[in-house]
Amino acid sequence: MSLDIATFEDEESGSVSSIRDIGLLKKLWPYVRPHRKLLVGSLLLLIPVTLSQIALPVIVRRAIDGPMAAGDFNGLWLLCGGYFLIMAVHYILKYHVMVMSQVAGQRIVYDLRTGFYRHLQSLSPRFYHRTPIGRLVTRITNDVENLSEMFSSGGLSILMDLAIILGAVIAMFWLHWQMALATFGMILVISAVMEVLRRRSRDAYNTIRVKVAALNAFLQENFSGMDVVQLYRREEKNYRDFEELNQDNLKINLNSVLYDCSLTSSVEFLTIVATILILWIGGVAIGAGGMTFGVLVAFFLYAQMIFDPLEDLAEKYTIIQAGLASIDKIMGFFTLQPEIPAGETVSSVSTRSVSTRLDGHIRFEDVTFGYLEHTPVVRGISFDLPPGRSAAIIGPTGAGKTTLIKLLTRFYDVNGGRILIDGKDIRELPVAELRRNIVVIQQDDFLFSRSVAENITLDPEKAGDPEEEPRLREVLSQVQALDLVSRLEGGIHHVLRERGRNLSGGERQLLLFARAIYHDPAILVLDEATSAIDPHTETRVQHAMERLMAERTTLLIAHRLSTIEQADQILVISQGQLAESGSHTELVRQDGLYARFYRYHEILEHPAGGVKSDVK
Amino acid sequence: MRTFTPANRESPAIRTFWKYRHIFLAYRWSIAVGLLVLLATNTVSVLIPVQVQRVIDDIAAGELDSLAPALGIILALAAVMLGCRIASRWLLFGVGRKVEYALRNALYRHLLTLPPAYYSVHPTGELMSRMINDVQALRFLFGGGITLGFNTLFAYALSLPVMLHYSPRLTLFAFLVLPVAVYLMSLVSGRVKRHYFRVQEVLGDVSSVAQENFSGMAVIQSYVKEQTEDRRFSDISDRYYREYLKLIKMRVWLFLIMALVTSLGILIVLAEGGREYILGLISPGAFVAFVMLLEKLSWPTAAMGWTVTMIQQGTAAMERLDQVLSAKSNLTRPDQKTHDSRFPTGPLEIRDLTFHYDNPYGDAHLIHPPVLHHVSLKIEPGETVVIVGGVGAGKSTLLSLIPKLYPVPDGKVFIGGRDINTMPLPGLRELVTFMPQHSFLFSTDIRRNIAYGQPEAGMELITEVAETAAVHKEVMAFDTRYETLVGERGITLSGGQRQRMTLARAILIEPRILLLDDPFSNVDAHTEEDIIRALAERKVFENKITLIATHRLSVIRHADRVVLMDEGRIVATGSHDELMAEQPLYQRLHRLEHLRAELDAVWRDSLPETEEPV
Repeated sequence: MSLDIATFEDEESGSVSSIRDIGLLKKLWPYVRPHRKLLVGSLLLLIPVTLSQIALPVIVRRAIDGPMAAGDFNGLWLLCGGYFLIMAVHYILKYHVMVMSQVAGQRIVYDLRTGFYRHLQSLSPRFYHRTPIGRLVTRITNDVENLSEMFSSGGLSILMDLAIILGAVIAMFWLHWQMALATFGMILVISAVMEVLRRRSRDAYNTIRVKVAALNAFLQENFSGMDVVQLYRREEKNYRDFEELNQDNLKINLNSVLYDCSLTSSVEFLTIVATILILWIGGVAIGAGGMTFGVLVAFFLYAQMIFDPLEDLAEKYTIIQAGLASIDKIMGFFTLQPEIPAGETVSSVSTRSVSTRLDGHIRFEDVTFGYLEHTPVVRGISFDLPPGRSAAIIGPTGAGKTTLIKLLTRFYDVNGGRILIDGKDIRELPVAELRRNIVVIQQDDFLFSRSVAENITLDPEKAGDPEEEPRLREVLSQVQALDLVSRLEGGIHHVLRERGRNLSGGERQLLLFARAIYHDPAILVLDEATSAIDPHTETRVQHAMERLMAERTTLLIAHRLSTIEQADQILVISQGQLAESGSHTELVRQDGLYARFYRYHEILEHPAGGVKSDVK
Repeated sequence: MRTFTPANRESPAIRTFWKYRHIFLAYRWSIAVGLLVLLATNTVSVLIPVQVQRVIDDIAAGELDSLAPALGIILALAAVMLGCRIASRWLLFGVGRKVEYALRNALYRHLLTLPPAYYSVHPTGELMSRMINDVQALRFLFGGGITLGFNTLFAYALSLPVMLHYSPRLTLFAFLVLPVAVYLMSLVSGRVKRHYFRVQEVLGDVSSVAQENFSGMAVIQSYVKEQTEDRRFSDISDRYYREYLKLIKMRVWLFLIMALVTSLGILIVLAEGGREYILGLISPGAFVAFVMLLEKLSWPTAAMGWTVTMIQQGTAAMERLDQVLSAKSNLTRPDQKTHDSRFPTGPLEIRDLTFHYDNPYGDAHLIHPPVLHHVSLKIEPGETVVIVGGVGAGKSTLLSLIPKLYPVPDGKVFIGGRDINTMPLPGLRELVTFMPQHSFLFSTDIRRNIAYGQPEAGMELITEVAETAAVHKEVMAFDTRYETLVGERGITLSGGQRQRMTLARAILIEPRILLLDDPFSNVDAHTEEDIIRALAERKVFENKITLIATHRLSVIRHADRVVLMDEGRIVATGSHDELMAEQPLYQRLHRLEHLRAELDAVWRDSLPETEEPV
């Protein structure tokens, strides 16, 4: 698997000018396809909606030139009634077009969001190590929202505007081509003026974005490092720096305000100029008897129809561009593939809980692996751990201890050698089945801000099932955490705070153990599981750990000495290789790495004066 | 006290604005002129349809000679309106921007005076939200809010008389529609607003499920719960889809109501205006002018709701800002006399200091147990003292109290015989340089980071101290050397590099008192020896009171005295040899440090070349 996530960097600054629009839309097609009927339907409805709107000024014209000129009241009422009917039809249809297109858009967004989540969920830990969680959350919320905005404010409504403009222009040419030409000329002038001003304003906005980012970064940093600012008496200087940034920001914003005001005001001005032109040409034509009042009024109404959407058109285009930029960012993630070969992904395995319970006989045979192909992190590791036995793996940080566990749970596959469980190469086991038999508990493993029951079962249905409660209580009492949980408001249904911050380290640990016992694995891995524990839960944790290890094959990583001493095997990893292995007594006798490690930790863990030390 | 009138409810808000009137009243002239110009804009805006009416009536009468000059007048009016519109908006929106500017300055200036205890209760994210969202709400209020509000007022006040003049009956009919439209719009937009919050809430849920699941992905994948979580995410996305669709439908309604008002207006003018025209009550010009006037009112009508929202949100934001601006530092008290700014010389003396972290900004009911008990210590100038002790012994707390990061009781800490509470805070901190445990660097270049406490320091001095802190060579290896940017936009430094840079930053200043909190925790033994030697050569410790919290043996060897702390108390003071002879706790700590260094050396040699990705 050669994929380079390191080069996969997306720029937050991404300007929206150069977008490969067509290619992007092609990528979006699989999500659009299922909803194409709705989209085509709303496009078809767009035709009567446009026609009915174009028809309204025609009625006004008829009313003015016909009944009003002739003094025919009945004719006037009739036309007014017709106006009302067409108007009603227009608005009813328009409502449906808008809702239909929105439903289609939002369904696409929903599919994309859940599809995106599903895809991310299939990616390996390596991806999660290298990608800040915040960025992923931004993608799945903000960027998907941009897309949603593109459908709701851009998308079809831009088509609707264009259809109206087109219809109105055709109607105008049909009514009086000279006047239509004049109006059309004004549309071009307005568009040109808008484009010039908007370009300026866009430049200003790009500068503003940079300035605002600088200002916010400055503040963010100053707030989090305020003690350093104050200790070095930088208050005055930093205030001056801030004021300067703020001043810059103000200046550029005032400029942009000027552009914005000029834009809207100029459009208003040019609309009046168009009115003047219509009055002039129309006036002369009426005087010459070549035109009627009705046509003049209808012209005013059509002009209004054109100038109103013209102002928003560019804004909608920007929204579409932002949406496309977001699609680009999201689609980038889809090119990343899960590292465990497809077909073996967890979803391909049945949803049944534990299908087969393994015995838990672990055997590493000459295992070699590197995250980068040519720099192995572990080399030629071999050991054999019979079912129900325990092994402690020790070594300095970065020696490759945790890597061994990731290989065992198949977050990565070995480059050389093989790993056997119950005599079977783990590559031949379905990943889901393998993982169901192994539980890894890490020092500060993740607790969700969900109920205690859900954190143990990891399943909302089981957590809410009253029949599951006795089992939950049983598990909690096994780790001696039942009294602790019942003290919480709501008992086992108590919702934990973010990452379980309202619990102590030891209490969190007990819940993690309960989670493990509930899932009843054949193999247990305790990865630095008990290093930071408060004294009042220490004995409970110790007890729970014994409970947990009973009858399970256990791998212990970097533990307290008492636990390591009792392990059936001790494996010392150094430079990615197995440096020493054997029982505690054997290794102490060897007087090598382990013996040194032991002497240090002996003092560290057997306090003479009741003092914990912060020495690593 | 029984009645709770609306006036009563509003008065606190007005009082809050009044409290900060100096910020807003600074722009009163801009506001006044802006509003006058806005009035002029609206006047011209009503004059144009009136002129159009004249032109049309002239055309109807066949008087085409006056057509050109009459249209010229409209063009002139349009030009005047263009100028006035730009000027009024620029002035009034500019006021919003200036208010934003002034508020930001005031907030930042005030936040600079608040102590660490405040920041421990109010996280950076919260303060950023004040600085960005709330300040923006006030910008909207003072910019758009004022403009739109008055624009609506002027537009109605000026159009109404003209419309009544043309035809009272037609005006009546037209305004029969308007109140209904305004009522419907406010009804729907109220619902839109409420539902918008609901949608935001659900979006928040989507975001937090995503956040939680991405953070806990290892657990999900290990326990094979992908399908359960997939369902959870689909469910919440589905809920969001439904709520959002409801919002969209409401927005469609709102849009249609607004459009309907225009169409209905035209229908009314057509029916009633047509009738009056046939009866000869209005001229064709008035008929067209009426359509134009009605059209011009649709925007101000829609703006009514927005103005109200801006006022509400701006008021709420101002109250939140007031909470920040009225927080006071707990380090200085008005009764403390701190006018004497002469620098005292002489020993640092701590007399019977007991301290606990009570936080006046946090939960008042939370009572913290003391972390220092009856600590007494005297250090003469030129002396170097090392503090040794386990976790929670109180070393860091003791160090942080000397530059008064937390309030110190009177009569407990003295410099040169003077209580530090009688010194101005900047003066005290000029005497004391404290290097905290966390190596905080700013995202500027390395040079500015090292010279943080003395920005005018020359390059020579900067390289000197960097050399002393054993970081110079690494800096020179970067492409842009001391100009290399640190942090997100620059290079990522290792923990050790950061620590040595903060050490360089601390020793660049030649303070009277130097406090170093565990300055070598991320530095290996070999480099540490080099640094200690360099510090001695540079005579950094000479003529200075130096207090270092560390266990490193090479530092202890250099110290004049060692202070042993345990559980917030000073257990013993003496030379290394004395403590080794008398204190079992010290012996243990010492032996532990010795073994740690040994193990460190062994492990370090055995480290593989590539670490796993973190």
